[in-house]
Amino acid sequence: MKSIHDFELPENLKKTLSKAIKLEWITLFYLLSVVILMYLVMGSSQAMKSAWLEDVLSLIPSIAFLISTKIFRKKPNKEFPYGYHRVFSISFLTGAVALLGMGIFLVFDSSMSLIKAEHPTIGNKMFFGQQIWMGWIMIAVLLYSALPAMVLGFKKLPLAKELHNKILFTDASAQKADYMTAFAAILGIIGVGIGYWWADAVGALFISFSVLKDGVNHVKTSILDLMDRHPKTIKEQKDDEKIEEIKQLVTSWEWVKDANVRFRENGQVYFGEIAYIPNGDIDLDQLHQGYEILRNHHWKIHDFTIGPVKELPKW
Amino acid sequence: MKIPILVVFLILFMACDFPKDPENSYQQAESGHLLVGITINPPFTQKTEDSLFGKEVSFIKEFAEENKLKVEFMEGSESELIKKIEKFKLHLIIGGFDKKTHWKKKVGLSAPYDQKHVIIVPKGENKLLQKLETFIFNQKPKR
Repeated sequence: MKSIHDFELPENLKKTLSKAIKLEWITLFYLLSVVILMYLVMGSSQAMKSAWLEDVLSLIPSIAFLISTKIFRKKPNKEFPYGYHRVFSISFLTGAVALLGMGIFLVFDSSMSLIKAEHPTIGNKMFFGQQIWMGWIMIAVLLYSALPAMVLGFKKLPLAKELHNKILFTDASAQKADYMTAFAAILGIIGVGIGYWWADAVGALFISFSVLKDGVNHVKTSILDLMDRHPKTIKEQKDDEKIEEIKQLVTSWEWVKDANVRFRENGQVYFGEIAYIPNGDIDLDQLHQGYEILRNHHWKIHDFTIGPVKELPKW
Repeated sequence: MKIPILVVFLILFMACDFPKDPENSYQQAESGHLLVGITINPPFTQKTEDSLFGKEVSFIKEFAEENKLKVEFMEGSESELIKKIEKFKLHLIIGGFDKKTHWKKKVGLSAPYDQKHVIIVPKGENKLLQKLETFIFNQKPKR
């Protein structure tokens, strides 16, 4: 069938994608260094623990993204006749569930330490013959975990929108959660320093709710996408106008009396069907031309069939 | 978000009384007595009829002297003492506790004074802990 063809991103988006991949590798190594450093200075601070778990968790979306980019471009074959685009939907779900799970855990954990009134003990260490309160070290590490994450997150957001890549978007919001957690943990530790033992747990709780909220939203989106709902824009979650454009375009052809279209998200691209009531005899050359026009309309309109029908289906 | 944090930093650096004790243990020790729970565990803590001695007892006495604190020892079993310190009714516990003690979750531990042994402090009493650790770190070169 004509509609199955190899997938190639448009030239300019290829560049965007390789930029995104580079950013993700940087993120991965940077996060690993943060995770190790933080583990070393964690102590018994609740907010510090939350921030640490938060960073471990935020590894998942970037790993999922990097694995998916290796797979999605593979050509369709007998075993996978639709190609490998859905790998992005799967990794998006994985990342989203990870985020949700961590949110639930963090809310539970920090509420418990608040209920049990646990006072975080923060000791001192000798560094090069100088005694330093570990709180300061923690704050320094937290700043290291916050500022680069902030930059990376803001750099990824526009790329995710351009590529219509939701796992990249999830990852960017994981970075947002990272730096928010870090700032709250800093305030928590300063609070402990001035004698408010609860500052730490309250900081952690506050952050947990924002992680939980992101988790719920992303899981919801990824499940709805897997349920083949109407394609939505990444950030605003509005109906993608391209679908309506396709319908307008098809009905404007003179060999089409009336038409109906449906598309679903398959990772970064859309798959779908176009049903039309022919105006006169079916001309295969015209049909072929129709395929070409639609395929060139937008790279996201990737895999579809145009089928003549007697009566339009109620999509 | 960053500027207020910096301001807070500056204020805190200027305030020398940092970190503080949420339950004011150190302040209480200064105005009253440094309440030290003791469980007998030679050679760290030992007892004859009416006197307490041992490595950790003299350690505490030195610490108190340096910080001009009066010490009051209270003997008891480990679990009794732990319960008290959890309620912030004691300031320290000695008795040759290992840094891996199973009480770790309920109490705070000082830095080890000899690589292995620690002194138990109330959870989150970070000023008291800092005073104690300052003393421990200053001891180290001598040992």
